Amino acid sequence: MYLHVAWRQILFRRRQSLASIFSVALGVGLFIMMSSMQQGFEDDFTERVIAVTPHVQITAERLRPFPDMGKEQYDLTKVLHVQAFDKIEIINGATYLQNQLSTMEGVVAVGANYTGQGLISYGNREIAAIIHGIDPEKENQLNGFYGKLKFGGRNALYMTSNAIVIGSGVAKTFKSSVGDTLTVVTDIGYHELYRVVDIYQSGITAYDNKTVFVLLKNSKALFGVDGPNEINLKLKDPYQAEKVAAAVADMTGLNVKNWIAENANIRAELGRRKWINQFIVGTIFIVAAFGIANIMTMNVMNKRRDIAIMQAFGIGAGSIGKIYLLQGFILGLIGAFFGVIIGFGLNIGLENIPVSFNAQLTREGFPVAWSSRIFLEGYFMGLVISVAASFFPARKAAAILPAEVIRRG
Amino acid sequence: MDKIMELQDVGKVLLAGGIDFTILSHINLTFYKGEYCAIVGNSGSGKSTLLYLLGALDHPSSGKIIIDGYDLTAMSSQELAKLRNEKIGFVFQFHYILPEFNALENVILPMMVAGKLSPKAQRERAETLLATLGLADRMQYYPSQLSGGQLQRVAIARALANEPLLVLADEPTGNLDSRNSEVVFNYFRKLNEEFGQTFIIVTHNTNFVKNCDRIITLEDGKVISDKMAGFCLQEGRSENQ
Repeated sequence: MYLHVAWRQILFRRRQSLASIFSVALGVGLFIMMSSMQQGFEDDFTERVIAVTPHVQITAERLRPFPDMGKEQYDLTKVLHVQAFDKIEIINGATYLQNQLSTMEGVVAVGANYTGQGLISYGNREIAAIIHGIDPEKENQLNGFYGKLKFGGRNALYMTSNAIVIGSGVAKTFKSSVGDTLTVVTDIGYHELYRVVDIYQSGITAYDNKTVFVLLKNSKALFGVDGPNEINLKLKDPYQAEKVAAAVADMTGLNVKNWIAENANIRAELGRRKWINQFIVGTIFIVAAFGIANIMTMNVMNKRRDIAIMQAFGIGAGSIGKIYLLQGFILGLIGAFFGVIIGFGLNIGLENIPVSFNAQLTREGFPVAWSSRIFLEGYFMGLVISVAASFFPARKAAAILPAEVIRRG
Repeated sequence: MDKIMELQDVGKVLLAGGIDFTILSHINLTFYKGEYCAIVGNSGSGKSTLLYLLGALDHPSSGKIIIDGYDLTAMSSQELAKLRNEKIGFVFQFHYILPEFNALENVILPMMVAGKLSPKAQRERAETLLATLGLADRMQYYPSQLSGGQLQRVAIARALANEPLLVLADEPTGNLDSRNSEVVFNYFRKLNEEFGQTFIIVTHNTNFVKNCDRIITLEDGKVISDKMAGFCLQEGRSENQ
């Protein structure tokens, strides 16, 4: 009954209804676009960071003695004057540790690297580089190493005894490519010739400009070590990194990093931007709400006589209010529906705008997160705003005194 | 005769511009089932206000109104709405036909609110009413396609939709020419005679007043005469009070 009246009124005032629907749709569409873009940037960033940064990284730096060693082994209540070891270059018992870690809940891949610094020279050019000694298969499990190789040679690092994969930035600086031979000098003075077997591109320029990969076994020759100095973990849920890192640190007593903490600044910045976006979108919604409230109020004022007669033939004041709230709800439903479509279109548009972000990240077009959560949020926001905007007009309609209106004709 | 409505010492004061205006004072009236009654008086005498009070559209400032055993002054607005829907039919000077609905739907609406008949029965009743009022070929027309007289007849059909105990009309022919006025009055009389519904009609139309069973005259918010088919029920009483 109320629905019947509400719907007829909406149909009857086509132009005002369309205006209301349009304002809700625009609000919802922009909300979806802004949120998708925001989320897209965040996801894109996270994805790229995660792609080159291990979720959790155990380093060879010992922070404290093995936990509770004194208590457990010697039945002591307090351990005092703990003597720090000299700087440990490698993680002892890495294989055992890796086995242990791989059984941890939420850990999907474990890999050990040796990471050191060195100079790489080709012709008359030199680059200070980060040299990763890796196990390619493990590295691939950890962060899709193979996928980032330009020539896709899965066994490239095994093709020759001294094989090296260089970052795309390094290759660009050297103007070198696969087959060229580079000189690698490490910080402890060892130097060897390496042949370029593939080019690596993560998409993070800073990383691609100074990263090279060799086999873990080569790090013995380059750095004179006999084991890894990092153990990297990939987690099923990257956002559990902080929790897992804390647990691993507790277990090993080593310095354990996680990508969330390592990128806290940028993540905080992204969070701030999210707030700014929310404000902008909030403003759009408020404007839309005022538009709807305005149209509805005008409508109620124009409908005073009709409301009076509806009261006269038995629709109570409360029900009159409901009719107008229902109108807000229906307009919201329709508007939000079109808003979702608009949001969809805007997202597609954004993805295809030919803009490239070369400064930090290499990509074409805006990153857009296609999240059903954002679409649902947008839809419900539109609905809620629309109903909220019709609240005051509805109250106004309910407050109309029929005798007053009819007396005045 | 069955008593269907009683006004006990009813008064109405309206506040306008910070000043109290006494519209009605000390109204004591009783209406009976099947009465065909006119309320007359000069403009500003309180006729319409009295009618709105009778129709539970407005609250009295003092006194008591009892319709069919229900004390209006003690009812919630929701209860009053239900009472108006079930027991009272209104016809106003202006037709107040909802523009979003066609003639038939306008007549069906009060029945939908009541929810007592099936949709099919509601439709049939609305069709019968409109046909009785000579609008058989105009049922699907929208208000913008109907003339003033036709709209007023739709309004009458709507007022009668729920077979009200009481039909209240406020200058029902005020906007109609004499031919249409006559049509409306004839319908009223016919319905009154056929179905025994009580009609209380505020009007200036002297031809119409002559045909009424009872004529209540108001002046300055007081009943100055109440005559029933030649009898005088109440005359000059207001001066005595």
